[in-house]
Amino acid sequence: MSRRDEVVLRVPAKADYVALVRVVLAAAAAIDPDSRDDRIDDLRVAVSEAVTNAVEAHRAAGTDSRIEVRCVTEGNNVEVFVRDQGPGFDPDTVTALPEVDTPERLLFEHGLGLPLMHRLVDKTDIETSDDGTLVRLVIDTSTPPR
Amino acid sequence: MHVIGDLDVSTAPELRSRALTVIDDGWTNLLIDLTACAFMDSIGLGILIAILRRARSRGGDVEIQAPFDQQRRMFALCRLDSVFVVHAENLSETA
Repeated sequence: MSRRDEVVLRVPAKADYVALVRVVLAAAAAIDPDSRDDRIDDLRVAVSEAVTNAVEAHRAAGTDSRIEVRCVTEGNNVEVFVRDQGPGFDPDTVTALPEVDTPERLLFEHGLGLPLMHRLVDKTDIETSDDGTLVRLVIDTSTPPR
Repeated sequence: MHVIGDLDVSTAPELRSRALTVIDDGWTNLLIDLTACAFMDSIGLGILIAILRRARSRGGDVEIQAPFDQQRRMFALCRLDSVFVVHAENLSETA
């Protein structure tokens, strides 16, 4: 039976700390010998997206409180929780990306993060309210990318 | 242009500023080389879109050198592999 480990980070809501979080979590997830490099890469990007969103949420809310990131590993199974205290948002209102052959595609400089998160990990849950947002990412690092 | 290091929320604004300055100075056809780019997320991709948009508005274009599978996968997942010309060769290995 795999051992369950947990890493918790509380970091300032600043862009400079996003790299620190993804490096620590990717290293924690890669401890399992069966983890695949490409899935660790996927996790690294998904974590970066979630933490970047949290940093921007804190900036929007004008709060200097910290962002909490919790990573729970049990063998190949990795769960990451990113909690912010921003103003929240409605994930259902995130616009789908236009088709690649339409001129409107080039207008989408922002809004790529959430769709990317969904595609990179096995499961994404988002709980959001006026008090903040909790993003949960779940990935089996031993399975090939989807 | 060569991107060295990570391309994320803390570094992408600098690339944006430098690239847009280059384009506004008249260099409207750019090759952005990601060979030394260890990491890129959607913020980095968004900046590349902004650079492409400015270049095309000046009659130019932007091509991407992305030798690593993960980089090209990012373009594909965001459906940008048909928007940019993406080269897979590693320039440092073929030189």
